[in-house]
Amino acid sequence: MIKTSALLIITGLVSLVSALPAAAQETTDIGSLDSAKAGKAFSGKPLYSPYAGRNFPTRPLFGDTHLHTGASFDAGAFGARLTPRDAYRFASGEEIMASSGQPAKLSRPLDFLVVADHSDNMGMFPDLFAGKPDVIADPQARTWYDMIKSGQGAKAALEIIFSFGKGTLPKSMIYGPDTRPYKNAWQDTIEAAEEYNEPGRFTAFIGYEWTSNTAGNNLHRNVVFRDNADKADQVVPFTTLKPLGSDNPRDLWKWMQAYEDKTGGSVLAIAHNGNLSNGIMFPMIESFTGKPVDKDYVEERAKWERLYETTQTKGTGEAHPFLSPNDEFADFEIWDFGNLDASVVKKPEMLEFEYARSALKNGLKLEAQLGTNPYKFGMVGSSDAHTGLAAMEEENFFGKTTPQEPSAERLTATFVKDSKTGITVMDWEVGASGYAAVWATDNTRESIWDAMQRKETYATTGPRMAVRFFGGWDFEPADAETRNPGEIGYSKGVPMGGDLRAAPEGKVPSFLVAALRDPIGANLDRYQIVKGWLDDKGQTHEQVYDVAWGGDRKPGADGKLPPIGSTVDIENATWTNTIGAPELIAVWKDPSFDPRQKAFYYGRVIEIPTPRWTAYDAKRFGTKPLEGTRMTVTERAYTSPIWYDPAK
Amino acid sequence: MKFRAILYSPLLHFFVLGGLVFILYNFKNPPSDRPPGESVLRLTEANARKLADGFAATFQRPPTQEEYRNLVKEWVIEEASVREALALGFDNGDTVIRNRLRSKMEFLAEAPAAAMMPDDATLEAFYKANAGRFASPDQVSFEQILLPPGAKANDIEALKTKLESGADPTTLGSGTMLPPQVEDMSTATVEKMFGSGFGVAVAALPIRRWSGPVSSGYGAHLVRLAVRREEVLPPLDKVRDRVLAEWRADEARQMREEYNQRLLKRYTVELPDFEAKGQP
Repeated sequence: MIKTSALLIITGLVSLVSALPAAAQETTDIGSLDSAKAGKAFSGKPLYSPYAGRNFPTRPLFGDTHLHTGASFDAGAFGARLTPRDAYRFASGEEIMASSGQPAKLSRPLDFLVVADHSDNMGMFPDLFAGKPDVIADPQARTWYDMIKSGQGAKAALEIIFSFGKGTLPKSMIYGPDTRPYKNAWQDTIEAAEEYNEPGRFTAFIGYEWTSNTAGNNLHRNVVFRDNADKADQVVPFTTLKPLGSDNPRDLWKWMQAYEDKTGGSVLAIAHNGNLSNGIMFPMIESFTGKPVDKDYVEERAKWERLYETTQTKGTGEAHPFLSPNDEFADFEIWDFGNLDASVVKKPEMLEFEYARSALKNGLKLEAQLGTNPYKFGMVGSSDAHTGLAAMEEENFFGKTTPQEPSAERLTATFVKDSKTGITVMDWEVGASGYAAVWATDNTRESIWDAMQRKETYATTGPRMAVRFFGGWDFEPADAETRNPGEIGYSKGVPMGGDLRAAPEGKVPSFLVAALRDPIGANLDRYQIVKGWLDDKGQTHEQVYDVAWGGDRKPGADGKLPPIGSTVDIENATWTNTIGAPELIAVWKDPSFDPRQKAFYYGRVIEIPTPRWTAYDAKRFGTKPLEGTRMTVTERAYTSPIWYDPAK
Repeated sequence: MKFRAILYSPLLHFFVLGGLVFILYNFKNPPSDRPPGESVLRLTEANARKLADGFAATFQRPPTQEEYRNLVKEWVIEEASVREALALGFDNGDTVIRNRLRSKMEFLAEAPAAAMMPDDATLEAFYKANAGRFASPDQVSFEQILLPPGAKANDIEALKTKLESGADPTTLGSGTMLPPQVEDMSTATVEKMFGSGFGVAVAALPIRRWSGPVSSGYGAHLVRLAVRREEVLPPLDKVRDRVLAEWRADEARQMREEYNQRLLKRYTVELPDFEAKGQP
């Protein structure tokens, strides 16, 4: 049977990227901390060194959990030439040459990176150079082997290649798949991570992407190893192609269990942004069986899928305006045309099973029915770039694919076009998003992975704002006057990703929230708390609360805070920090808490409007954007939720 | 869908063309005329083992009999499909296949680097020439306060005097979430928290004195640098593995470059008489 897949029309030309512009910066006072206030914030005399004996994370680590390199078959097909090694070098702050032939460098290094190439079609390479006795028995092979050993490897390699070309290669060196040990791309990926992993400075994770994509419905998962090569190289990644692989996540979880059983190691999975799954990423009815999800499914999913990729280049999946009509910030970088290959058009009833907020709500329902919440996930953002470049800053955006690397054409080029469904996605719709922020005590594989496992993470759409979110029963307004919210937060509550259980008599959940803008980024508009809950009749609800905001604004009669306004000059791609606030901190108590109802709370931090990457491109290349192109963006962060459960 | 639309549909064209290719192939090579060997799919023992090993590597256990039969069945279908596809020339011009082949060649060119073992003198020279890559970073410990925006010079001096005479810095300046005290942090990490330039500026301050203002991404600060630890280059033996990996990575890059250049020398390139029209 012949099948056609979506036609991807890609145009792209090489051109030079201009230098980074200096962002305008100004700070705003948020009030002075006098000794009287400080005395209230700290009970008892503080130790001289507030860092002495501390074992909680003091700074968020930023990274990308989802980056492809040329080792991914589709990235290679789009012309990506960078290797996992290049990807790690770039993320750790080095300047490298992009596949499109232009130099690329991040404004500042990332703290960690997971190279997550597709497990299907990872290349297989013969290991010609292992010095196996039966190979070097041949005199010519021996000569080459000795050349390699004495440092003339390049010369030897070329002689071998040319000898092969002439048909004079020694028989012992003619490698067929069944005649010699193969070195595969997985091994190479592991070695690259080992080489660039520098505990304390930069963490290079071993990982891969399991790419379940049946009928174009995206169910991808990124698998991240806590372990080093000694464990990871005992296995090969799980694939989706039959007969060794499967497109059903239940089989991936079995693979994960088998890995842990065999090696004593640890792996977790991060579900891909579900917006292109056409209603099957967060099922109530499993697409593989047509039956309601069962006890086994919810338990396994909760165990293995600790995090969810809430935002990435192919759109943001926190909330959808159709599902959350009262949330004026829900309509953000939405991709709701259909599935991954644009072969099936989206129906509104699919949305509920694709977006983070509705999944968190349905998770409460399933927990009430089956005893476990399968959708109790933490939030991260990541790039899903297929370029080897985790470059997700608006003014330094290297696109999702190699043809989308900076050029005068990308503002007007087509990304996906399917003539059957009539779906067209333009390159300008691709977002410069996002990164994963992790509250880990140390920059090591173990420490960051453990923080991911306990969901002490948040998603950002690119900027590196520091966001704190603590829940407890005893936070008081004075706690918001501290200079060190971490200190109070950990001592009186649980951090993002944590649980509150069995409300003490007469108490309501209180939250200490704090956000500090990116040191080279834009001010903050507001810090919101999103609450979802399950009522006595089994119905779910949601509510967005404004908790802290910049500037002198008062909520209107409808309870909504007026918009912050905008300082963006689209034509010149500039903005100023004359509105908003560099820091937001507050304590908030749930005004409508019912101790009998399951609930979740998560933080959403909104930046003031800034130029979108499209505005920088229009300015730098002098290209006229297509009609309807979004030219500004309100970047944001989403924290992992804190869940409330009435049970002990 | 209108008939016209169907007629112009690329899908229809694809099917029609695909059908023609099959017809042509069968016409030129009637099944009865094909050499008998071509219709035999022989699974060698080595290949059979490879199937089973692949299963074991994935599932951490050998396949059951039924699973093994399934592996073989899938192998047969794959092998037959690949032969038919190759006969039809479906590999021609396939960008995925072409890129994979190119990657394999580049891998071949670079692979020797992974097994190369430089002598001590070579490694030492590389280590010295790239000392910056292997040094543990310089570190600073300091206290800081954020000045209110628009603070006047004499206010700042007064604040400094207060601090020098022992006032508690956590009670002065603007309230901020930035840490009042930073201990043993590399200047690179300081810059991640405070913005670029701040770490280097702090590292250059006099020791144990309130100095500044120093500007960060958040405003102007007074800073008291407590300790500065210079960048330290650990002895080669402590970082030998990393130096070796970096040396090999450098070698691999050179090999790829050398390979590309030698490769091009083997070919004469003929180009059409066509200049791409540049953008105005």
